[in-house]
Formats: sequence, structure tokens, C-alpha cells
Amino acid sequence: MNDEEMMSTLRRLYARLDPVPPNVVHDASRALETRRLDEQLAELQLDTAEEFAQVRGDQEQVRLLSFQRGEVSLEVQLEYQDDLVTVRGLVEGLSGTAELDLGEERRRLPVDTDGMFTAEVPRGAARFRLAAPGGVAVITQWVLV
Amino acid sequence: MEFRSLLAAAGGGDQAAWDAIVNEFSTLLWSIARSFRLDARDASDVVQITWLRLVENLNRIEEPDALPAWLVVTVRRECMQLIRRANRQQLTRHVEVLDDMPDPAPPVDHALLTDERDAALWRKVAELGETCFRVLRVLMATPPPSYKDAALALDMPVGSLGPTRQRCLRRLRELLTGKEGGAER
Repeated sequence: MNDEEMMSTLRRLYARLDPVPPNVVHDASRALETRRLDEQLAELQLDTAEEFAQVRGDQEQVRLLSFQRGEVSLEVQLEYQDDLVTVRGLVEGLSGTAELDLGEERRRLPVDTDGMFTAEVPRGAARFRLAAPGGVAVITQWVLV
Repeated sequence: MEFRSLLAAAGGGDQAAWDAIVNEFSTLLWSIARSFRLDARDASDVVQITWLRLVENLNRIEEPDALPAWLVVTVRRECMQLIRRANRQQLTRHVEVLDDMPDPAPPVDHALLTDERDAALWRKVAELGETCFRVLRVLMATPPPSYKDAALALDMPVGSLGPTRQRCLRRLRELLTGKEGGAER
């Protein structure tokens, strides 16, 4: 077998034994429904899982994310316990409602008077939506939590 | 494939245009995720976040011809971040994997592996070192990626991809015939 024949054999083998699972294609197709045109995107400014990964050898279970859009900021603390993630958020620069978008599921997050909320979610893709009544709506970029 | 019109249509909510993009790149993204030896659950997560990111950026991609490169780099970064986070968090399900690296061949329904030669190939590919496993797993995507996109997925210079592929296939042949050569990365 020359190299090309070998690659073809491997390609056929893996297409049969390790194909893209149908649910992955299905979810990809449905991802278009998450399009939001009328909301401002808050970008991820900080992810401690990235910042300190190289220099800290500890087994820190808490991860901090920070999003910002103009005056609005969202600080999120993620605590991992097996497959569950405890989310604690602090909203500043906007008072209103918060929602957690998990792709297939959306959850309303009760925000207290200090701008804080908590939730427990499964690991996976997530983003937050913050909205002031009748006013500005900010949505964070997607992150894997 | 004409990405400019597909991206524009998908950005306007055209599901058929979006599905055309998804169908074109799904196996490449899956192959890249699996080239990092992520399990099915983690591979699904990184592929999904890549698509979600693309939706988020549909109207921001300035160079539509660079769509394959954008997807490939995004999924590679997500894979590396997930591995880094997992290493840090020492999650139980990852510890199992880390304990017996290199990861053995993913479990597979044995009925699918009746052909002895296929079974040997499946096992030996999994025994390859990190670089060779990644290179071959990415190049095995259907349709085969361009060398340019594969090099981005592997974060290696495009000029070294051909020689690396050749070396890795030689190594695979040695494993198959039991003639173990020198050290391999």
C-alpha cells in the first residue's frame, strides 16, 4: 500500500468507526436559532482558566469570567463539582433581568438588589443575557463552562 | 464552495445556507476534536461551541474565504482550552483518561471490526504518538482538508505537513508489521 492508499483506507475506516454523531450535526444545524441581531455583545475580558493555567499548579476549582460591554459588566464565578457547575454572577451598570442560555434551554436568573444571582447548570456551552426593562439588552459571547 | 453568499444568507437567517456550511465542515471539526483524543462528550461540546461562535460572528467575518481557517483555529483553541481546564480542575472523568495516556483506541462495537486488518489498523493508529495521531486523524476527515487548513488545525507550518504525514505513515506500517523503528514523537 502506498501512502495515498493507506490514507484512503484510514479515511474509510474512521468514517465508519468514528463518524460525527448525528446529534452533533443536529445541534450544529439548530445553532442558527441562537442568532441575535438586536442585542449588544459583551466580550469575554478575562478567564482565569486561561490566565493562570501556565503559572499555577494548584488544583483550583473556582474559575472567574469577566464580560464587558460599555458601562455594563458581568463577573461570573464558576465552581465545578463533577459534572455540575455552580454559577455565581454579579451584574454592574444595568439593573433588570438576567437569563442563562444553555442552547437547548433558557433559564431566568433571579437577580437580587445587589445585582447578584446564582444557578446550577450542567457543563457545556452557555451565555448570559442581561436586559434593563424597556431598555438596553446585552448578551455575552458563548463560553464552555 | 462560495462562502461569501452562504455566510450572507445564513446571517440573514437562511437555514439551508447554514446547513450547507455545517455539512461541509462537520467531519473536519469532529476530526480535529478527536485528534486531541477528546471523548465523545467533550468533542461534541467543542464542536458545538465553535458553531455557536460562528453564529455569533456571522455578520462580523470580514474575509469569507477565510471561513475554513476561522473554524479550524476556533475549534483547535477550544480543544486546547478544554484540555487545560480539565488538567487544572482534575475532573474525575478526565483523570481516568490522563492516568493511562496514551489513550487506548476509543471503544468500538466489535461487530463493526470483523475485518482483522481493520481491527489491527484501528489499534495501531491509537498507539501512535501524539503528533502522528493528530496529523493522521485530522487528515482522515471527509472530505480531506486542504494542507493549509490541516496545518492550521495542527498548528504546524504547512511545509512540514507532507513530510510529517510520510513519516507517520511509515511509523504506522512499522507498528503493523511489528518492526519497531527508532523513537517516535
